[in-house]
Amino acid sequence: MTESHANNVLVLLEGVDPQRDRIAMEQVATGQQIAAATGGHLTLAVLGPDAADRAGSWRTWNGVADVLVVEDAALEPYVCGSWLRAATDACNQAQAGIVLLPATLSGRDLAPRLAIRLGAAVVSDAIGFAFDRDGQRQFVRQVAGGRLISAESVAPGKPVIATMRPGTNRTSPVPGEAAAVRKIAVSFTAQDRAVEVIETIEAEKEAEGIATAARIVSGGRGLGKPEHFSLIEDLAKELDAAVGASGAVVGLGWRPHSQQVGSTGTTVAPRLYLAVGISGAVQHTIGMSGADAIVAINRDPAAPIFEIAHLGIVGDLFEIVPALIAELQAARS
Amino acid sequence: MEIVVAIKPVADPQASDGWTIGSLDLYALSHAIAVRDATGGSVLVITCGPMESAGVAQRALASGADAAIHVQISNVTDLSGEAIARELHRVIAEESFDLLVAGQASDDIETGTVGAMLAELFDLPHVSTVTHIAPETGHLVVRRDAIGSKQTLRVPLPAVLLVLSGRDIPLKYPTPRGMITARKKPFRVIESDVVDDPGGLTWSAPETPPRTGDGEIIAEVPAAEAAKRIVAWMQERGLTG
Repeated sequence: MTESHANNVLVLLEGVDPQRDRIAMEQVATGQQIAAATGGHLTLAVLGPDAADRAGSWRTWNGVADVLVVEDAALEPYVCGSWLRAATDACNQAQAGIVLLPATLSGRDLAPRLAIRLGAAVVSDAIGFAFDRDGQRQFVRQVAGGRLISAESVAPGKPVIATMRPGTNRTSPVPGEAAAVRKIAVSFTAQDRAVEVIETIEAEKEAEGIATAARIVSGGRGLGKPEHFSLIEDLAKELDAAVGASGAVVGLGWRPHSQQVGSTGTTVAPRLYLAVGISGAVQHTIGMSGADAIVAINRDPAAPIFEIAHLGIVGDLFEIVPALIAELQAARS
Repeated sequence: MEIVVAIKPVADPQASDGWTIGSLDLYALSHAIAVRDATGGSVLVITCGPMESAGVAQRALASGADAAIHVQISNVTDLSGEAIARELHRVIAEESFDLLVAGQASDDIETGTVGAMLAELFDLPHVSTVTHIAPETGHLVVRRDAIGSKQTLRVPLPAVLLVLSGRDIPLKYPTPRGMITARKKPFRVIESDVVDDPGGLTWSAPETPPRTGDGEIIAEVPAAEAAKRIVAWMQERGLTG
């Protein structure tokens, strides 16, 4: 990797329709901004079973030098082996020193292995890019469930893979001239395909309750014990709302997976989302930030949920929730 | 089945010795013990951290693991995920195993990189966000949470599984009886201070980010007053139904 290659940017896209996929659009916008800052080439790579068809809609963004396409049925559904092979080939073709993936489940799954395979550094869950005081490439990332940020600088000339946290870049990509589309032929080995998806159950079917609810009251680890979820159920009843839960409490077995809101649960967009005792880790907020109105109750004023809440109440949920239930009852009578 | 569980002790002011097992690593350990109980074999726990955190390995033994190695790295918080993965790889490569499990990420720095890097260093297939592991002859049937769906996968052995959830199995905590038997189980400490970090990153101490949200924040008011203001806020917007 030469110094000049270190400034080239590759955005790995998950083979999606740009009209629909907000995350992919955001990745392109971030790629444009980083390439403009470094002065390097910007390449997009579209991976998936029908990537060639989809690549056409990705070629007309400003500053895109190339669109690379890897089209293979082995890329759907996502398993790491095939994606790792395809992504490695795309990175080598693009000679990119900065590779961007979304900090989604698949992006975060792929990035560490890709980094080892390419001899690159890896930054997880980045929210921004800059040059540090020494002129080195630097990513800012979130740690401790989003409570803290840390700036990570990349050694000179070292390639870097960064997963970018969705929802942190609100700008749109800038349109431009059509770029060339280049197809890459990738040879997958038997080991690349060793893991086989034998069944997929769509979560929406079992999560009917929260997927379509107009109002959701969700509880998190701040409730302390599974039996305290009765507070959430009582409040939900008053508001005629569905009951949701954070990934943390579903992982502990307190609540069924069908109630889980977030990146490994259900994505919801209700009119009202009331988050109780939920800190607001990215895994959760990615699934509910599209709600029309977000109300958060948490004792920790630094909880990241307050960043996206339209109304935030800092305080003890064990006092506030019963008071809120009483107030709603009083308001109705 | 021979199973290795990689665990990162995380600082916990509430623990007696100031260290605890991360929540996702606890799920990984619990799944590993459940698989061993179904198939026979053994569970070897590898922890990695400063000397003071070795108690996490001993508590894993008291929770049902069969043997433990604590890789003592005093400067672990200064290291990249890659440096930790390479140290663990060096130690685990001395052992033979069919299955390597770890939590999806630690509870502190949560880069979530070490497990997948280990899979790459061992050149083994891996699956992440695992919620259930069922051993079959020569392979595993694994359930995982994907975006908007749950998947069932066939995973050949040997393999690496990164665990997200313990919701389908009993979680394993130290028991009084386990504490006694743990004393007789194999436990060793390997000292391993990394001087050259291969990760290619330097980073600043974590700090509190400036608030960028523009929502209204209510703090330090009595609960009844807060409740009144929430209801008024919701009513103004027609959100109460």
